[in-house]
Amino acid sequence: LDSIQERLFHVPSKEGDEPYLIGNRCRTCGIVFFPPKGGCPRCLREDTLERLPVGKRGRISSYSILHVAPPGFPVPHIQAMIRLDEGPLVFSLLKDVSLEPNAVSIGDAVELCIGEVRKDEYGNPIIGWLYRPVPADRREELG
Amino acid sequence: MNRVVVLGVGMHPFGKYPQKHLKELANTAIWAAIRDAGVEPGKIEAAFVGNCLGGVLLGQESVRGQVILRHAGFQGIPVVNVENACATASTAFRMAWLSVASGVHDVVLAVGAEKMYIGDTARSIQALTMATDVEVAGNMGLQFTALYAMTIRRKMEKYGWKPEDLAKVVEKNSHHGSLNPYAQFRKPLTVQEVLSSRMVADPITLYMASSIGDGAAAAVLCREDLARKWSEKPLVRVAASALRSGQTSMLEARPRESTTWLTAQDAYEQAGIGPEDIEVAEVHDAMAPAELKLYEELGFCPEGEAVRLIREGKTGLQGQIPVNPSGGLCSRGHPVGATGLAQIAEVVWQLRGEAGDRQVRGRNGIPRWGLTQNDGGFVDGDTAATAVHLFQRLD
Repeated sequence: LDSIQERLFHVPSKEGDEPYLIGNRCRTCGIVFFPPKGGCPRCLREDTLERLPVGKRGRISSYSILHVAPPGFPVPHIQAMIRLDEGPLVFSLLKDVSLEPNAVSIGDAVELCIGEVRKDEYGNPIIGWLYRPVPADRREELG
Repeated sequence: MNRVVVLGVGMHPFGKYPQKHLKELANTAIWAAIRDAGVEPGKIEAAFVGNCLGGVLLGQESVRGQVILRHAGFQGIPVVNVENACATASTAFRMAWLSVASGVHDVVLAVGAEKMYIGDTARSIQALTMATDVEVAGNMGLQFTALYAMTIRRKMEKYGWKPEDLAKVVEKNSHHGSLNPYAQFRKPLTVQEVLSSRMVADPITLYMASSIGDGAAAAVLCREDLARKWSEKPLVRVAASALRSGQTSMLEARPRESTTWLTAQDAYEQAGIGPEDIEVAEVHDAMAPAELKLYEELGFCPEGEAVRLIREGKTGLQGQIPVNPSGGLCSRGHPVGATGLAQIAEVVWQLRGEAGDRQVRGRNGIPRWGLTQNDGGFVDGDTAATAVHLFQRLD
C-alpha cells in the first residue's frame, strides 16, 4: 500500500502544507477523476488528461456504521462515499464522528485528513485518505 | 444466430460442506444437469466454468475449470475459465450461450461453483473485498454490506422506505427459501425477527444479509433444432442475454439511469418483450432490501413504488410478479461464483412447472416468461458487471 502515497495522495510535510488527493482532469471535457484515469471515458482519449490536486473538501453521499469489520479495522467504524467538490465519488472512512445514530447526515460537509486506515497483520498502521466533518465554526467560510 | 435452449439444469444444494472439495460440489451439479438434459454426455463439446474465489481461498489460482471438468470425467474438450465476481456464473452461462448461438458448438456446459467455508470466516469475507478496485476500495476496507447499506440509506431518505419494508423482503424470501430443498437457510423469518437481529451495517441487520456458502449449479445448453432429439421436457429458450459493466453511480443513479435498467433494456429489446410480460424473476439481493431497488430498475414498477409491491405482497409466490421464489441470495444462499446459474436453474424449473411447493402461477397457469438478474463487484462507483437473461418456455 506504500506505493499509493504521493501517487494517489499527498501527505503534508511542513507547516501550512495541506493534504490532497492526486486526481486528474480531461482538458477537453473538463471531467475530474479520482483515482486518476488513463483515458477519458467521455472523450475516449488518453492524451487529454492532466494531473489535478483534488479532494480537500466534499460532502457525504451516504454512509454506514459497520459493526462487523475486516481484520485491522476498529469496530464499529463508519464507511462513507464522499462526493468531492470537484466531482468524483470516493470511498472513504469517517473520522472524529460520534457513533450515535444520526451523528452525521447525507449532505454534510467533510474535509480530507490523511491518517491511519487500519493496522496491517503485524500491527503497523496503514495510511490512507479519511474524511472528518468540517467544524461548525468553519462551515460559513465554505458557504 | 442460432436459437439456443437450456436443455438441462442441476445444482448441488447450497450450504456448508466442510468435507467437500470445490470439484465435488461442481461434479454433483454437472451430472445433475446432464441427467436432466437427457443428452448423451459425449455430445458435450465445450465447457464454460465460473468460479470467483478459488484462487485466493483454495490456492487454485489457475485452470480451476479444467480441474473441475477432469474430475467430472471430461477430457479433451475446450474449457474456458470465467470470473466476473458475483456475476461469474451468469457470465459463464452467457459465454456458453454465445458459443452455441454463433454456430461454433451445438451442445455445451455452463458451470458455476464456489467453496467459501474454509474454516476461516474472516478470510472468506476479506476475499470478497477483492471484487473491487482493490487499491482504492478493497484496501480501504470497503465492505459490500456497507455499500448496500449506503445505497439503501439514500433510498430510505428519498422514497420513504421504512425498516419494516426492508425486513418484509426477508420475510417473503425466507418463506420461499423454506420451501426450497436446495436452499442454505430454510427457516422462515418474521419482520420482527429480522429487525431485532444484530445490526451489521446500519441499516442492514444480520438477517438482511447473505452469508458465505458452498455450492454449485450447472446448465446444458443446446441448439433449439437439435433439442427435441434428447429431451421430452418442455423446452426453455434463452430469449435474451445481456451483460454490461458499470457506467454510473450505484448510490446516486435514479432507476432509469442505473446499469441494471440499461442491461434489462438490452435484454427486453433482444427478446421483443417488456417487463410487463415477466411472470417470474430471480434477482441479485445480496442484501435482501436491494430487491426493492431492483423492482424499479427492472421496470416491474415506476420509480418510488417499490415499497408498494412489497407491502401489497405482489412479489410473493402467489403475487402478480413473483420475485426470488428460490429464496434469493439470503435464503437460497450466495456461494458467489455459483449464484448466477442457481438463479437460471430456478427459472428453468419454474417455467417447466417443476418447482414443487414453491411453484409460481403465471397469468395462464405455468409461467411462460422468466428473468434472471445478477450483479458482480464494484468499480469506480458502480457495479462491475450486471447480467440479465430472459427465458421463454416453448410449446
